[in-house]
Amino acid sequence: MRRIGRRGFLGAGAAGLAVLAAPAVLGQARPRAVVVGGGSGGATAARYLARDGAGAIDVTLIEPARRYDTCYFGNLYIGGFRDLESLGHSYARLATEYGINVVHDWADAIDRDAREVRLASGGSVPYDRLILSPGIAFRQDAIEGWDIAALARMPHAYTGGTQVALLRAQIEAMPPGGLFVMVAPPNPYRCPPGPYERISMIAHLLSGTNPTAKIVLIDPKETFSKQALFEEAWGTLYPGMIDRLPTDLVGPVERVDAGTMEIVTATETFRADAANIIGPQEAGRIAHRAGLVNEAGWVPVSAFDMRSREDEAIFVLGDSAQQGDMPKSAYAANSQAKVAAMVVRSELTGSRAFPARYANTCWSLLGPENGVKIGATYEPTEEKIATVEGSNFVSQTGEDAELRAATYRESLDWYDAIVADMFG
Amino acid sequence: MAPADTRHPPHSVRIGGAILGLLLLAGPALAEEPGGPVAEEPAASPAAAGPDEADLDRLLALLPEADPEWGAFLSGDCTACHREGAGGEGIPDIVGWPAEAIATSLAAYRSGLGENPTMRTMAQRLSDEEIAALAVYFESRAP
Ligand SMILES: Cc1cc2nc3c(=O)[nH]c(=O)nc-3n(C[C@H](O)[C@H](O)[C@H](O)COP(=O)(O)OP(=O)(O)OC[C@H]3O[C@@H](n4cnc5c(N)ncnc54)[C@H](O)[C@@H]3O)c2cc1C
Repeated sequence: MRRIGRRGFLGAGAAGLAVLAAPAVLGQARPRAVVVGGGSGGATAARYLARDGAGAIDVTLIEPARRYDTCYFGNLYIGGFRDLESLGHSYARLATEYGINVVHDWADAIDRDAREVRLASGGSVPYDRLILSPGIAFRQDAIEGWDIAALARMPHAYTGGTQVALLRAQIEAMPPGGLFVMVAPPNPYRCPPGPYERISMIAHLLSGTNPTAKIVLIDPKETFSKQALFEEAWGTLYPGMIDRLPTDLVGPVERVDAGTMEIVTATETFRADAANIIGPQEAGRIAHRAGLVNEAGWVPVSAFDMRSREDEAIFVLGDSAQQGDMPKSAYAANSQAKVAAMVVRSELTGSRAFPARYANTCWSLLGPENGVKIGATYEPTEEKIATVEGSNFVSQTGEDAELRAATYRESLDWYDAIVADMFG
Repeated sequence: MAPADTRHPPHSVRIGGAILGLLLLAGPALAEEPGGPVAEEPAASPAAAGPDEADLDRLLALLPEADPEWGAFLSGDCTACHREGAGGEGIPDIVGWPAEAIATSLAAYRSGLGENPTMRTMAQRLSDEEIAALAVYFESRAP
């Protein structure tokens, strides 16, 4: 059940409230906020703008998919702890209850001078303020042989839904004693613990169905998030199954071949029965087309409001943003969206603005009822979003089963809460 | 074991004159502490003695003047995890809790009381004014 408008300022669905609209500071009927990308950052921003704007802001959300399949808990699906249906979320309430104009289309280009978003289907949408939260793209030609065609046999499964289902089906189809190979991404990338939670979930799945199977993890990084926790779990829950090979041992991945299922590093060739290649990443394509990215392929933003350093009318959230210390996570994108929505609303309607603040917590599942978490709070500085000193926390190795089960239960409630915060 | 229904305001525990509405905010990690709930035996851990009583009184005195609109913005830190209508055993629904219970709980976490590192971290950066703003905001949304 959802309640809105209890104290007036919380607003309500925009439909019946247009008459109450605040005077538009930009001298038109209603100021226009356009959000591109209906994921963790974009859906949150659109919902907060519409809810708190209480009809005073014309909010349009441009998102090609009819349903949002979360990446988060996708690993739990692979492990057999969630079904895929439970990870899909509709945009219907954003339209019906919040009065957001949900446009299912791709943003194809952004005309920053005219302040218009051009749609793939041909139309265009004018904006006073634009919020971009398009997630990640994979760097083209980063790994020889890993092109669009290769994704059917060597999925990344780093967007939700189809790719994740494909990866699990391929793991289930492995012959007894077969070899699974993951190539982990270099920093920075979406969800720092994601590849390692996935390895844990694949090991859990195989332990039940294919206990002599082997898992090889080729990793370009020396260290990784929650490393002590993952390595402890792999040693105790899945002994002998997982081999992590940092690339200073086997050399960088030179090429892959989706036909022969070969992964070739400087010193070794692996023939996989199932493979998961998580390539190097950069900001979503539309951010590149809008001319907002730096040489590294990410969008530099101000830590005070997530505003692009290139264009004062454009805010960039989530994975695409280069903001400083926050990880690329759904929690972070959701946190950043609330700051950007508050600032945009203030600029468009004259509502009060408050100092920005941010937070993050990421839960991971190691095995049945065995959850761990990591988190911190963040504050803006001139240079970047900075970790509040001393605020980092992480679960400990050797925790008892009761605490791990409680942490897992927390993660279930976090999932329900964040999707409610995004989609109403 | 914490009661399964966490939608209602927490059981309050009186410690040295202050009311600590802490049990349910902390969830099972706190309630199942070996030797009984920590809130009933705060002296067990000297580092976690709870907020100073005079400090808590000063905080509670801010509630009548607190700013719910600021609280609404600050609540963004809470709503990523605390869902209205949540009934699970993990993270309680805090919408509609009495302002005093929210303020007392956050003050307790800020002082280091309670096992949950997420809540301690979240509370540690809050000023008295921010805690008061959050408390009146969540109370104002009572069903
Ligand atoms: C395996 C895995 C596990 C994860 N687990 C967690 C977790 O436990 N906790 C956590 O906090 N995070 C987790 N994450 C990370 C999380 O999924 C992302 O960090 C988060 O979704 C980023 O939000 P975003 O808004 O930047 O992008 P997204 O949520 O990806 O949303 C981007 C949206 O933009 C749309 N889009 C892209 N281009 C265009 C365009 N041109 N026009 C219109 N729309 C466009 C896309 O269709 C998409 O819907 C996980 C990720 C993975 C891969």
